[in-house]
Amino acid sequence: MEEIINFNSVIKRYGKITALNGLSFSIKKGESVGLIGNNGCGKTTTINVLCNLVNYDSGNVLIYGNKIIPGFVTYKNKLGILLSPPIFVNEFTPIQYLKFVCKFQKVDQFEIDLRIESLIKSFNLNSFNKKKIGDFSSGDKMKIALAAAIIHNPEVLVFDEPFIHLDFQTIDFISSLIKSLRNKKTLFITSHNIDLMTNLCSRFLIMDHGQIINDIALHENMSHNEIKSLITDSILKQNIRSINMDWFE
Amino acid sequence: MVSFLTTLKFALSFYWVTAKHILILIISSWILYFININDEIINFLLINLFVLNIILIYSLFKKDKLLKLNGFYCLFNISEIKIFFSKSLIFGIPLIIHFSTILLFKFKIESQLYLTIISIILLFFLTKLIFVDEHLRLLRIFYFTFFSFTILLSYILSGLFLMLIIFWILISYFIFLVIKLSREERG
Repeated sequence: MEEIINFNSVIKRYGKITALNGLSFSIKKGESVGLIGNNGCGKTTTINVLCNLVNYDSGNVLIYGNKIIPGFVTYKNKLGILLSPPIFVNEFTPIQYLKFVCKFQKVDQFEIDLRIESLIKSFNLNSFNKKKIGDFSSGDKMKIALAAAIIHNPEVLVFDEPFIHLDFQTIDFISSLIKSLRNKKTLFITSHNIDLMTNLCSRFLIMDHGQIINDIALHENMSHNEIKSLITDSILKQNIRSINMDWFE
Repeated sequence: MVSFLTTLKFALSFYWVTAKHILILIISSWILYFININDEIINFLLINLFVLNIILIYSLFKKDKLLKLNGFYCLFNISEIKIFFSKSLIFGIPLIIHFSTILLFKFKIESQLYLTIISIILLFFLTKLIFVDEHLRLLRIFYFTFFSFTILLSYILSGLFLMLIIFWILISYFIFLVIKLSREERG
């Protein structure tokens, strides 16, 4: 199967802090991959490098076989990117914002209104036509960000923490949407929510200190609990801490 | 890469939704410079209005800083040069209108000095367009300072004809950059 994303010995430093420490992995077409790890392990940096929002210091990042270098942007139309926190123009209304996203992503002029209308209806945002994005709740903002990420029908979906700060109903909505896209699109998702991720992904990359420490592929005969314990064991093994807080009684 | 026209439309919409009242003030207030009463208080107020407009134009020019910092432009492949071009058109034209009307109609300055000031404003936009990357900031300052002094020297040592030539060269270069940008877009 065609290799879509390839990280090869990627190093990224922010001053003295090494965020990515020789990161290597690849994702094939149609895979749904979850990137899991503790806070500060380098998940968001990985997404930012993939989206060319930050430059990496050494190694290779390939997308569709082309190396990501500063200024290389043509591949971005194929990506549906959802960042954490999502980036908006807060003063725009959702429709205004989505119209511009369509123009930026070169969606066919005749399709723009149709796609916006269907997304607004499906995401249940139709009662807020004139409300500015900045005035929406974080759940609705996430829905708008998700609509903006998929409106141009991208081949690859890159979602950074799509479930953060959301209520149960919005989480359910987003996870159902991701589930419906599984096997149709290539998915690359980062999250702390292992329960949800085990339902959404077929492969899990466990990350720690800027490296992949475990690559777990789902097998048909594996139960939900088995996958979950494999993932949690991998994460916890790297982070055994003793609690020493006698003063806290 | 997002086209120049889409970038311009985006910049216009952004400034309209974020600062429409200030935009209306900037665009409409230059008419007040035509008030032809030789009263000290009115002249003082008009000069203040002019200074206020310049400050407002500058602050609006920087208003999209957050979009640059949080990666919005980068995320959607909107090039910095196109954003700067769009902002230059949105604010450069009112800025030149303000300068022209207050200098020519209120202060009634000679055309040679007028051309010098407008040339320096044009030079400011041009150097920023040529050295759009932030890491070329020092080079930008050097070029702007060097050529501003050249323009000022031409004003002091020479006549109107040379100022017209300099002004024409700057305008031509601006047009050349527009053509270059649109060619790159097609390529």
